[in-house]
Amino acid sequence: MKHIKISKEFSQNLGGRFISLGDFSGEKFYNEILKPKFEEAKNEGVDLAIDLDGASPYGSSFLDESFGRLKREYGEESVKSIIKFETKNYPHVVELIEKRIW
Amino acid sequence: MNKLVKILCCIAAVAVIFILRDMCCNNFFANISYDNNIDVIELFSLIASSIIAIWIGFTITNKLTEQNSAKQFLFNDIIKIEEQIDQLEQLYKEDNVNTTVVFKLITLIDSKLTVLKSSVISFGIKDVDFENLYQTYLDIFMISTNLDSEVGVISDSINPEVVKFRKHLRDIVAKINRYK
Repeated sequence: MKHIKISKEFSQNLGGRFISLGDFSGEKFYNEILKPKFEEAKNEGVDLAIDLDGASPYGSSFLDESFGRLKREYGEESVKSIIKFETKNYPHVVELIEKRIW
Repeated sequence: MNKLVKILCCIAAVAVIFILRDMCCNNFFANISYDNNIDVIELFSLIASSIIAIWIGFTITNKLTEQNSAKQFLFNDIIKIEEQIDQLEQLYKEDNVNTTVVFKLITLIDSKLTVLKSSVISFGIKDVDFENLYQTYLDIFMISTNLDSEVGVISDSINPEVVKFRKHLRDIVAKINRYK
């Protein structure tokens, strides 16, 4: 299983949707971390665990530009079967991704 | 005071008035005679009926107190959720929206909803539909944290969701209130 801890590998303070709008955007996270790791996991046939704790705030714009874009690019079924969320603090963020973004 | 207790008190008061009136009209006190013999069966019956009456009264009072404190507890949680939704709505009426407060409120509302849901289940209150409320919460979360939108747009689109959220919350209040 592959693993991403957003607070360590990306940032503890998350931004908005696009790189042009500020630091640590959803677009930057998608390009630099999420997409490459997802492709690795997909090619190796393993799950990709994403630890949400330790970073904030998870705005819908950030989530849509990262996880939403992943779904639009690779398809819902593929994304849902590979990505596994790990969180104690943000179950509502996982709900938002699974019920609104995907 | 509970409605049932009020009704029982009224019935008891009416009965006492009728008995007193009857006693006075028929000169009851002048014709009182006493029987000094103790009937064991009557004595036993008196003690048994007194014990049963005390036990029933105690059980009813206990049950009503438990129900009322459980309901009050849940209503307090609901009031806090309403206050947080009011604060969120108010934030989008201001010129400069403090996004840190928005995210804090969104997280707080989620944890309050989770606690409310588990409390309702542990108090044994059935048929309370949290799904609609939670779906509306997710809509509010989605709209209010879309940081790239114009604040005016968020404010316009968040209002119907907030109204819907309040409506679902009141439905839950009604369900809890009907719980016996």
